[in-house]
Amino acid sequence: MMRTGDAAPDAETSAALFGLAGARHINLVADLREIGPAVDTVIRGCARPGVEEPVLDAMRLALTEALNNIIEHSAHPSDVPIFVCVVANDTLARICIEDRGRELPSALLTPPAPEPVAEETALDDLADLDALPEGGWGWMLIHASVDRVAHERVNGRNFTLLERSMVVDPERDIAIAPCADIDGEAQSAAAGAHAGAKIEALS
Amino acid sequence: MNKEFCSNLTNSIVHALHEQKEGVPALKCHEEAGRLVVVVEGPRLDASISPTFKSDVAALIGRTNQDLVIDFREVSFLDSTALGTLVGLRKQIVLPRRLALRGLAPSLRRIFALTQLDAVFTIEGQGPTGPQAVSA
Repeated sequence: MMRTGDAAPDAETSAALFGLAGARHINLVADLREIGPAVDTVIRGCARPGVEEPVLDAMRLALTEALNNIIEHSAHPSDVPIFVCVVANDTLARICIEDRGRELPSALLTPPAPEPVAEETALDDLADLDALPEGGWGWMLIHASVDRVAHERVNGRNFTLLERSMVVDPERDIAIAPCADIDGEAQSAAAGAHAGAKIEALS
Repeated sequence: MNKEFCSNLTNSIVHALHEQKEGVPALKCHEEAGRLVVVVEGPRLDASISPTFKSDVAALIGRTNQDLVIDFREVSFLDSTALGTLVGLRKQIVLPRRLALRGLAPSLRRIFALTQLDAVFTIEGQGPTGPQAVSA
């Protein structure tokens, strides 16, 4: 999956632009299947005692979405190398993504305002449902998950920075969608199934 | 859908997914109070997996008239492509049928809140647990 040696990152530029001197780079190609393992490696590099899970979850989401966007909008063909490096301490993490693909569309680099979604009752109408977008949240989620996003194009390479405080911000890191109770009939059946499972486990 | 049909369907879907691509989560389905529950075996539902996931769940939607519950208890990560896939599936469920999502970890519920897609889906709690819930 991840490779080293077949191409070199421009460590000098990422250090000069974003202060990531001495960071270890990992290497992936523009294949969506490589994102998960690469992101896991980077986030493991950010984890340390005292850093809470919502911070790492937010960084995982931001990095995944950034790589999704680079692969979908910039990095073609698929053998374009992508490098990710990270510098983290107890208070701050800086992740730099370097790719040699096309310049990212500038519209992707500014935080978009979320488009209001119609009320659920209206969405039972098929016409309203059909109008719902099936994508386009990537950069909004990135900007909602990190403190700073920066982008530079140098020597035909894109350098994208994601900077994030290691402290939980309850307002943005722990926003929770409301959870409905299931209806009475289903709840009753569910309770029965659960009880059945318990009985089976005890016997 | 009777239990035998559901069981056959489950086996065929799991088998098909394993043949298609390594790393794609299998789906396990069972009936629960008249609803078809699809448990997504984690840990990730992302851009690399979403097309296969969408076609498999769409096939399930087309083969039953039941309400559908997609259970994410085993999923720890979801990206915006997966969100788009769920919206696409939501469009295929027309009244009086319903689509509910349940077992979403806090990090996943955060994404629904940020995108305001919590208004589009019925989001339920954890639901029943235990072996019967995923293998009936």
